[in-house]
Formats: sequence, C-alpha cells, structure tokens
Amino acid sequence: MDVLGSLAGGFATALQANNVLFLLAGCILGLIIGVLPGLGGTSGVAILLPISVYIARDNSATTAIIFLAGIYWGALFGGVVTSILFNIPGEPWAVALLFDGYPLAKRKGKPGVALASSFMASWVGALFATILLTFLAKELADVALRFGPAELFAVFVLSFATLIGLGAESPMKAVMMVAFGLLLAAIGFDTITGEPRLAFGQISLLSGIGFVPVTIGLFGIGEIIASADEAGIGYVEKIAARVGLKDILETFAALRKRIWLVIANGVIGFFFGSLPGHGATAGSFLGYGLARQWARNKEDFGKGEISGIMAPQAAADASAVGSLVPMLALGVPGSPTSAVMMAGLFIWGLQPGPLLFIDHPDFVWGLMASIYLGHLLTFLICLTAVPLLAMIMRAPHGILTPFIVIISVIGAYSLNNDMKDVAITIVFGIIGYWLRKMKYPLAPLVVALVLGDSTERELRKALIGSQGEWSVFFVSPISAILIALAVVLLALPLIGQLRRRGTAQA
Amino acid sequence: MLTALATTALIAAACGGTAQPSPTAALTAAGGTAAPTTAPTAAPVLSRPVEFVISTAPGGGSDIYARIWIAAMEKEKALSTSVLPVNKEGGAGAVAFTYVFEKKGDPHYIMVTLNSFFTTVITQKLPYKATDFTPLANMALDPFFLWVNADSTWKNAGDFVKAAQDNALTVSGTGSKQEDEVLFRRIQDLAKTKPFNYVPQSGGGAVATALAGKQGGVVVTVNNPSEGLGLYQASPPKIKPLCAFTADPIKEGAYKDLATCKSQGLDITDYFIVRAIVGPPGLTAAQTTFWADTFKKVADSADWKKFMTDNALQPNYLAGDALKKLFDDYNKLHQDIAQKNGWL
Repeated sequence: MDVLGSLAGGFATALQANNVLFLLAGCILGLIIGVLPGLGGTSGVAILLPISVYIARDNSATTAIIFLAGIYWGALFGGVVTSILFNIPGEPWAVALLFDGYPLAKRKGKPGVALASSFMASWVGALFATILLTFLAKELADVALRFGPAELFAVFVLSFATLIGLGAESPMKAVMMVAFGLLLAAIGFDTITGEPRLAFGQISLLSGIGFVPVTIGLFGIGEIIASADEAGIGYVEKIAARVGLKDILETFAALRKRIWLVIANGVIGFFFGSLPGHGATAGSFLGYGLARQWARNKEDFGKGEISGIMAPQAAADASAVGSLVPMLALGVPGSPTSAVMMAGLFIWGLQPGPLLFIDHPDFVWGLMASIYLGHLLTFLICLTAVPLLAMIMRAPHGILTPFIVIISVIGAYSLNNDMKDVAITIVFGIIGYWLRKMKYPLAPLVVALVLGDSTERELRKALIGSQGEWSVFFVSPISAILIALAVVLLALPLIGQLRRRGTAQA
Repeated sequence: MLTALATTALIAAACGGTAQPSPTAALTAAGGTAAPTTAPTAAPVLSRPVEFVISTAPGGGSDIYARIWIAAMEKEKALSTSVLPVNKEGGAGAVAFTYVFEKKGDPHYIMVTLNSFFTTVITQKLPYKATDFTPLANMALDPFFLWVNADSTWKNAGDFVKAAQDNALTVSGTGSKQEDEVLFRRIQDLAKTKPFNYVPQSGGGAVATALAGKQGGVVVTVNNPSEGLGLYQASPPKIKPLCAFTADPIKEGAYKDLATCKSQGLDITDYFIVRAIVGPPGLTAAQTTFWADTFKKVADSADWKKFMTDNALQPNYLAGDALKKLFDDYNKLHQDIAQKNGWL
C-alpha cells in the first residue's frame, strides 16, 4: 500500500500542467531525434541537457527529469522507424528490428503492421517493466549486483547460441560471418590491457569500428545496391493500397496471440537493463534470439515474422526502463543514456542514489509516474502516425532511393561528427552487396560485432578474477545453467544434421 | 517522401509550440545577451562558439564536470559566446587529446582533464606530451578513497595492507594503466604487498558495483567519493570507505571525519585526479589569462562549491605557473610509474 500511495502522489506530481507539457515536449523531441539515424537517446538527452538546467531552475528538478526521460522514451519509439522502413537502424537497439521489420514492411508489403507491432510491443513491454520498477526497484538492484563477469559472459554466450544460425543456409558460412564480426569487434583500444589492437597506428581506429555505421552500410546501402542489381523487382506494387485502421486491428490480433512473449521479453529486458553498464542493445538481441529459439516457426524468422519485431522491441524498451534501477537504487549509471541523465541530476544539485527516495520522494515518484504517462503518450502519437509513415513506402523508387542514401550518410556522420564513419558505411555497403550475392548471412556478422566486445571483456574479467581458473564459469549456478543451455542450443542443429546424414547414408 | 517531410514539419511545429515558453526564453537570456567580461581594452578573445572537448562518453568520468562548469558559466554569465560540450571518446582519451592538440593556437577549443591525460599520452607513445598543451585552470583535486565491501572485517588501511602482504588480493579500477591502477601499483610498491590481481572495468560506476557485489572476487577499490556515494548511502550500505588518500581528514559532507590513509600507515597524500581545463598548444598569454579568469568565476560559483562539498572534492583553483608546476609534477610521477611497471 505504501508504494501505491507514493505512486499516487507521483501521478499528482506528473499530472501538473507544466510537467505534462514538458513530458509531451520531451517525448516528441525524442521521437524526432530517434527517427534521425545516428542520433539516439544518449545524444538526444546530452544535446538537451543544457536546456534542462533552465527547466530545473524555472520549474523543478522533477520537471527536468520528466523532460529528459521523455526524450529517452520518445527516442526508443522513434528509433525503429528507419529500421523498418529503410533498413537503416536509427538506434543501436533497433538493429535487431532490421531482421524482420524491413522484410515485413517491404517484401510482405505491410509497413503499417510492422510499425504498429513495434510500437505496441514497446508500450506493453515498457508497461510491465515500469510495474517492476515501481514495486521491485531495490530488490532487483540487489540481485543485479550479484551478476558478475562470469554470469554476464554466460548471458552473452546464450545470446550467441540463439542467434548464430539466423538467416544461414550453410552453417559454415554463418561461422565465417561470426569470425568476421569478432575480428571487426577486436579493432580498437583493448580496455583490459590498455593497448591498441589492429589500429595500425591510426588514432581514428582507436575508437574501434562502430557497429551502427557498419549496419547502416550492410543493410541500408547494401540492400539498395542489391535491389538496383535485381532491376527493381518492384516490391512497391505489393504494398497494400490502403493503410490505416485495418493494419492496426491486424496488429492488435497479432499482439493478443503473442502477449506472453511480449511480457516475457519485457521482464527479461527489464532485468538486463538493470545490470549496470548493459543497456538496451544486448537486451534486444537476447530478446530476438530467445523468441526465435522458442518459436515453432523458426524458419519464418528473418523473413518478416511479427514475433521477430515484437520481442526485441519489448526487450529494448523494457531495458531502458530497467536502466533507471541502478541510478535510483545505487547511484551508478545503468546505460549510457541514464548516465547522461545522472549527469543532469548532478548539475541540478541532486545526488543520484538511494537517498533520493528519502530526501526527494516527489522527484522519484514523479519520475515513475511520468514513465507510465510518457509511454502512453508516445504510443498514441506513434499509432496515429503509422498510416502517414507507412505511406512513405509507396513513394517511387527514384525518389526513395536517393533519400535513403542521403539519410544513411547523414546518420553515419552524425554518430560522432566524423567522416571515418561515413567511409565505414560506404565500404560496408559494398561488402554487404557482395556478401548478399555470395549468399552469406548478414545477421551473424552484426550479432558478433555488437556482442563481441562485451563478451570478450566479461570473459577476460572473469578469468583475471579467478586467476585463470576456467571453473569460475561453473561454480556460479546461474552461469553454469546458462552455459549448459547455450551448449545444448548450439549442439541441437548439429546433432540433427548428423542424424540426417546418418540416415541418408544408411 | 513529401508526406514524411510534412509529418516531420508538423511534429516539429507542434513540439516547438509546447516547448517554447521556458527553454527558448532561457537560452536567449543565457547565450545571446550576456555581457562580455574581459578587459574592455583588448580585442575579444572569442569570436564564435567554443567547443568544450570531453575525452569520455556522455555521462562518464570527466563528462559530468565539463557539463557542470558549462551550466555554471551560463548561470554566472561568465562568457559572451556559447559553449558546446563535444564528446570524443575512445582510445582512453587519445582521440580527444589528438583532436585538441591539432587545434594549435585556437582559443575556441578547451578540454577537461582527468589523469588519463597524463597516462595515455605516455603509455600510447603519442607524438606529443601532456605538458605541450596550454594549462588554463585547475578547478579541484578529486581524492581517492580506499573502499571495501560493507561486510568486510577490515577496520582500516593497516588491516588491508596486512592482508595484501599475505595474499594476492583481487582489486578493481577504471581502465588499465590508468589512475586507479597507478594508485594500486604505488600502494604495492610502498607497502611491499603481493602484486595485486587488477581487474579493469569500463567506468567508475562499474568499479563500485563490482565491489558491492563482490563480482569476480573483488575486495578493494580506490573509487572517487562521488562514484561510491550512492552505494555507501544505501540502506544497509553496500560498500564503505576505510580512509582517504588526502593530507587531512575529510571535514564536511557525507564523508565527514573520514580518516586519512596516512594516519593508518599508508602514506600517500599526493595523488588525486586533476580536474583541470587545458587548451591546445601555443595559446597566447592573453588567451590563457582570459580562460583562467573565466574559470575563476566558475570556481567561485555557489553551485560548484556545493558540488565540491557534496562529493568531497578538494577545492584547488590554480592557474599560471602554479598550475604548470602541478602538470609537470604529475607528468613526472606518471612517467616514473610507467617506467617502474614496464608499461612503456
């Protein structure tokens, strides 16, 4: 009852006119920032942090945090739009949406359903995550503390196991793509030894090969070259002539069938987000991988399966909500975006951490209530925008294609205001086209590039802590179970193949 | 496509409408109309917006400091032009340092330091020295504390040293061959402990978290006061400081009366994170003085003073020759440590 009372107080705060206004402003700004590829929640919050100083001064720190959080939620929704419509990820965590979102929008001609699916999943996933945040923030923070390098490594291994076969016709090709991705991930500054790796003396390579420019190239540019090559097979005509209410109703029906999947991903994503330092990106990949693994129609994934949109998006948005847990309960940042929000707290003169609950209950509960409201607002705005957004897909190739190329290049540049990323995008556009031609799967490459760095870091940290004893991964029951699960998942297709080969020979 | 543009325009317009009242008005007040503050005789030092370069990601390490100072500068109307925070993370600072180094003689670029400003330049053998940059102002020295898990049986630094002499302890800090490891190697050297088993993390928050969860067997860290505060104030506390690597006990704030490590037998009082501002090489005396004066106003602002108290920072405004000497000393200290530990 105590919590409910506080939450009611929080709603009273969040529903004050100026707070609603700034929440709405934050959500809309976040949506716009999220739609622009390359600019994500982190840069959005960082860009608007100076303005929050004045909001905090003229209104209150509560209004300021509601505003900043609104940007975060808006960016989560907005980031999916270019992934689904143009095959260009607007945000790191929207990369998992490329696998099924774009195929559903383009090849199956249902951009409205694809967009609405991701928005609904975002909202439902976040709703459950917010309920968890409201009632279990402190308890979950304690559990998250126990998640050390060995446990995290096990989680990453599990992600690899669930995703590795995605889109692959030949297992050998998938393995080669994973190796290529890991090699790219190794470029840059090795944080464990403090030495540059594969940087060839180039300062610009010290910051590594970012996976967003790579993905923009592989998927966005690569797809354009490939479809030009196929002489415009003309997906366009297949796009439903009318988009509107029908799409949304269809998506509602799809959501009802998958409601447990979305809720489960909300819970998993939330927990993943509450682990300090691991944000929405890994959560969305894990969500996608698990959904695929446990689906009966595994072969539909990568070709426009709605579960492949809903699962990663529910997990991504829930991770973002979860990343507030360490900030509120422990005073440490949960994700890059919440790290910037924490910087905001310092600037407004607040100390992030558990004392906020005691010294500034208005702030904490106002923020909590605003998460419920912010997601609802963003969801409604997005849903009304679906028909308009979907219509973009009906634009003629001649207009759409140059537009996508421009967006790709601007997106790559705006990541770090660095021409290096533009070069990476173009090079990987060509590589992407070639890989497509050679029928190499792109998904395993992206997964390895995204998760490679963190996986390696946790592995080495665990081994340093155990002084080189590999048993560290089996002493902890959590990591032992997860690794065992991963091994089974990896071995199953192999065993199946061997058996088939056996029967064929016999 | 046209529809897309129209939609975006619509959204932008709607948003501009709602967001307008406060922020826009406030921005113009801060950026546009503030009076110039330099001596009226000289030509203005700045002619366009300033880039405040930050060598960590938004929210990480020195980022918070730069942003607090920018906010204070705007509030105190210390500058006539606007200041943009620019994050150039990567390579333990090498990307940002090189970026600023290449802006020789341009006062529109300033950078916040942390100790990787010294260590990275040395260990990565970059083609310049930390002392090549123009030191502008030091704002504070950020002390290190000796932290243990809340249920540790060690009562003081002496207990820790004894344990470290008997066993190779697993310790953790931010990055590799950077400030936290520098301090641990100094302790190792001074107290003749067994070599520490050092686990590098991606940031100060991760270090404090690893200690709180005893992740991977981590038993000690040397987090800064601000990084451990949340975990220390949790009920029950998750971690606790044993002592501070400072010359005097902490006088006020959340860590009031925390003893020095020196009083417990661990005599290191000269190692802090340098929270300073530097410019590219070759700034003129007038440009240097301009920035030193600007940051003096920030150093005297109430907001910054409160932040220093809350986070147990040691106020230490320095400019000119005194700051130069501090940089020289830290450069030498890090050179020696790198030499001694074979990091070159």
